[in-house]
Amino acid sequence: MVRLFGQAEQRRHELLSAYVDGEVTAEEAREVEDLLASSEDARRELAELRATVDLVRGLPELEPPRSFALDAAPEKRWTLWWPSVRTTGLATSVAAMLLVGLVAGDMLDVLEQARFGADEEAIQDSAFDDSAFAAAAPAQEAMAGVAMDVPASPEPEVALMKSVASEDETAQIAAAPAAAAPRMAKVESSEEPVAAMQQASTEEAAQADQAESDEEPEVAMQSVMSADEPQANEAESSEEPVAAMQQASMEEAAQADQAESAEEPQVAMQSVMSADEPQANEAESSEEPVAAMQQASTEGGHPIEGYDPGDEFYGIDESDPDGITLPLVELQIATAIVVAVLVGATLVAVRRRRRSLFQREE
Amino acid sequence: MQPDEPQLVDRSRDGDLSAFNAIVERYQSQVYNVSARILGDRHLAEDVAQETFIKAHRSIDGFRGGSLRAWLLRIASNLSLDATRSRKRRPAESLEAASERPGFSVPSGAPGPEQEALQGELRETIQDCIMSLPDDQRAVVVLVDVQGLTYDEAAESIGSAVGTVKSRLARGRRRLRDALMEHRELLPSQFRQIDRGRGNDG
Repeated sequence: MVRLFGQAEQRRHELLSAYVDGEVTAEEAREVEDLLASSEDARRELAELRATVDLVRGLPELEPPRSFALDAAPEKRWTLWWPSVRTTGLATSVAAMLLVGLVAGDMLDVLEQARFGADEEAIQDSAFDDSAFAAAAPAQEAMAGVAMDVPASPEPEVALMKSVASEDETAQIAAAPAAAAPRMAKVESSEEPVAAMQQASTEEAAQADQAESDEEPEVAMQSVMSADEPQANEAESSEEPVAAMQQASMEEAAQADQAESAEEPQVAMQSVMSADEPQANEAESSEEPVAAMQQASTEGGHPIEGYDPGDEFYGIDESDPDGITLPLVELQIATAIVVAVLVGATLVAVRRRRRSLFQREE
Repeated sequence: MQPDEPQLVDRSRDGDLSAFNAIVERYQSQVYNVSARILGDRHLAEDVAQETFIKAHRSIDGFRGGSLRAWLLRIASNLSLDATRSRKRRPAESLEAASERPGFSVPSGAPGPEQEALQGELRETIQDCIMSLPDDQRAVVVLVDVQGLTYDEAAESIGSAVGTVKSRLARGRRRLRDALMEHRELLPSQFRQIDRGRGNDG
């Protein structure tokens, strides 16, 4: 009968309902009256509506148990806007999930690293001695090539930006030799399928070249600094995130390539650092998942291709990762801080809500 | 709306607490009733009503004119719906609240003949039926049918268009009718007549 909820049906219900309240236009009122004249169902529905509304209107007005007048202006401190429990709770859980992801990734990497170290410490050492330095040397050459364009660029970032911006052929050329030596390092340290895939996926040679050339200076610097002081490594690494970010902010194709290339240097660094301090290894290894994530996110149109050992960019890519290694630790710390703050905010929100809802001002 | 209402608002903004309390006195019954009908719980409604005026005092600078009543009832209905939801998430407290919820059958003042008919069990039944409505429909039914707001005011109170009020009200009323029909033995003569009119409908 009346249960067919078509649009016309719903409109009829609304018309009748509004008619009960007199909230209809003159035209609508005529429409309703025509309907009532012709339809038994409509008449019954109207009667039911009226009876329902009468019942509800017949409910007595409840007497407030007390006055709600304010004794004093509520404390202004609490007039500050505060997000709702729902908002803070949601934000907290998102941040917590992020943190868990970071830490879990870290742990996995640590495990990998540990296994790696256990199995082939010797190789690791050799990797440090041979490949790292081998990589460093060509990298310096590459840097020199870049330096031609950017003579006084003590900071890898500067070199990076310029080479990228100007697509320097010199940088590319310089990068090419660098690719050869780092490849050795990779063979040993190439335990990350992701890195391999990404490397393989570098499609545009020019971009890849740029990215590589950008990052290698860093590698060179890092290796140099690691030789001097472990602390120096950290300091540099703090700058590298910037480099990584800058790379990331560049254009898509270039981005993907750079990001990829950026991560592998981590491997090189890790081997270096593992030689120095086991802890350093952990820290760095923890960052790689993020690097992987970044790569994935930047990869837009990159088909995932198998690892191609023959890829000439392979070695180059490895040198780049340096930039991303350290940011991971910082990311974790930052996320942990954010989580802590959000938890606090949520607690405050809960307390405020409870106070406002359940505490009376007697 | 009283002519001096804008003045009261202005003075409240300037920190005149007595002016604000004049507003409270004027609207506290409506605020309390809307909260109680949406919540179905007089004790909780007391807290919500108090919170409504605290919040109103706090944010009176944000009142941009229009209907002060609609503005206050908007705060009240939002807080009531929030409290409903948080109560749903805590069933233990909900049970507790329900056990101390007999307030709706208590007659207020001297009952007239019409109220006489709606005493006791019937009142509670009606309130229960209101509580069975979805949140959005319940708010509109309470604002329009219990509190007697116009569609325009109700639209202001729920922050929606008048068309939304119309459709929610129509749906809410039909649903309410169906719920009430399940207690037809309690219903007054109008409904029993309708019941007969429906013939073999049931």
